Amino acid sequence: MNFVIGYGMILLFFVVVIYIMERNHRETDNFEEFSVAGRSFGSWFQTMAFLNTWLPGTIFIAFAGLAASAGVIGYYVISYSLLAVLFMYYLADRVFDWGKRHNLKTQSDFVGMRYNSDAVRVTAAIIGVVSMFPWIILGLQSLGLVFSYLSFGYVSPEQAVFVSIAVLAIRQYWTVRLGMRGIVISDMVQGIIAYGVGGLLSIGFIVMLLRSEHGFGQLAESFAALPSFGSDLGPLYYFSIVLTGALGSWCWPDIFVRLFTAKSAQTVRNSAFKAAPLMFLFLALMLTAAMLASSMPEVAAAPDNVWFLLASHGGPVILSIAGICVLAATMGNINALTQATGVHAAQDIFHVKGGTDRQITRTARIIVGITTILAIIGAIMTVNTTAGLLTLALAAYQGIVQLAPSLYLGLLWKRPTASAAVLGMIVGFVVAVVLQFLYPVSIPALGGLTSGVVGLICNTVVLVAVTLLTPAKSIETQRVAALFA
Amino acid sequence: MRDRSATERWILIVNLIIMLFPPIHLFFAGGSMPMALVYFFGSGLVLVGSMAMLRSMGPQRGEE
Repeated sequence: MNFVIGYGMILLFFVVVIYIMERNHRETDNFEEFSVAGRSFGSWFQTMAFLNTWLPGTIFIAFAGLAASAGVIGYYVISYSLLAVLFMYYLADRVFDWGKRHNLKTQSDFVGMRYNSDAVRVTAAIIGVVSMFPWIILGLQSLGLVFSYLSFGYVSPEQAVFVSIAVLAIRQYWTVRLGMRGIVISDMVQGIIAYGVGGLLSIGFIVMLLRSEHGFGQLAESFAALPSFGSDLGPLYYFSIVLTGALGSWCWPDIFVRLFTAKSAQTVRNSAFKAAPLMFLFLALMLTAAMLASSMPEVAAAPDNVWFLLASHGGPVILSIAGICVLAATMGNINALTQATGVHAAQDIFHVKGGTDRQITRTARIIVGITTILAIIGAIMTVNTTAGLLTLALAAYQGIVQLAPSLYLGLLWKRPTASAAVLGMIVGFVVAVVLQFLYPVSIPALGGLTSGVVGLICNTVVLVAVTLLTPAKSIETQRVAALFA
Repeated sequence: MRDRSATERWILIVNLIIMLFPPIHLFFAGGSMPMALVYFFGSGLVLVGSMAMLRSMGPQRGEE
């Protein structure tokens, strides 16, 4: 019976999402429609699309697990996520204006136009596509946990990964066919379930924990401390992870494209105003519930399962609803990642010299399909090796943030040149990836700085030095001055 | 394109300092749970309040 409740609710969830997507479907081969949904969405859709892309299902698993196993350091996601929203406000005007004026559809398109360079465009696209791939596989594995718990013992964790792969493969049909419009509309439904219902469940969990003697007083003293002087991680570790998270936010291609799907720059700003309190409330409640649950023996033994272990106290229906929250968050993220991979690879790598809308849209659809198949193969091959994959995914994060100097300095400063941007990105990416493998967590000799921050420093130094030593030609200077006017 | 006002710039700088300057977070999150929660929830509320302030300052607020 419990199995029927769990899998029945999953089926109901998919039917509702697909019904709503089909009702709002527009058949088209127009690439602007496929990639940015014709720049037509209002601020509520923008807000939920941003949240559903930004907060993946693993927020209920790995991030909740960090709060349950280590305490307040798990709250770092609140700090960097809110800074990302603040940056959205400041980026809105210039990014939206340039995007609309030059019909830009991707992040690589954006930096390519800013630097008037295909080399910058292709380099940014390759870094973006490579960095997103491990996260698609991780998303598939997060789904496995949902299908395992909601089977109530009928499906093992290993078998659940295969079930989730089959379900995702079917669900991707709509992502390939409907493009960005389908994604943003499904994000609205999935966002309400994941963060609205997830937030309400978190309030229930907090009340339950406080009433059953799992209060703040039961938490270990170490739970209230960040790594400081004399710790293994170092006093600059927290600074590094928040800085990398905040600067890296708009470097993710699937996040950046949210700035192009809005109706206007004011819509982007309005969605930032709406996202900030919603994000803060949801994360504060969910992470607090996870941290309080750390005094439960079963949570201490498996902190990554804290969300499901808490929900299991409420019976099969509550556990199923909690699983649907994770499913809803994961689906939004996987859809956004595969769509961004297809659009970037099609437009900014394979058709960088141009192509018709029909050709680029067709290539993007094929790449979304191929990416899904490759991710499925990757998930099957790594079904029992999540730790290694997580290391690769974190390395990818240190890599993606290397787009930050070219992106942000290119928006704020007229002087950076294409060669400076390409050299900076390559140096920063190589330094970050090499250091990530040598020091996967933090670099003790540098006070706890992470590989990504050291890469960022090298990247910025190279970008500024090359810019100052080899100034742009006068025709390029005039073009950039007109762009900033 | 709008020019940034001094207030908008200060809002960005103040929030960056609160969230990133190590002496602040290391002082608050040093072993006392009430102090740590004051920092994490307080800094979040300051940023949410900053967004409300930016909204009230906008010349075309609400218009899309």
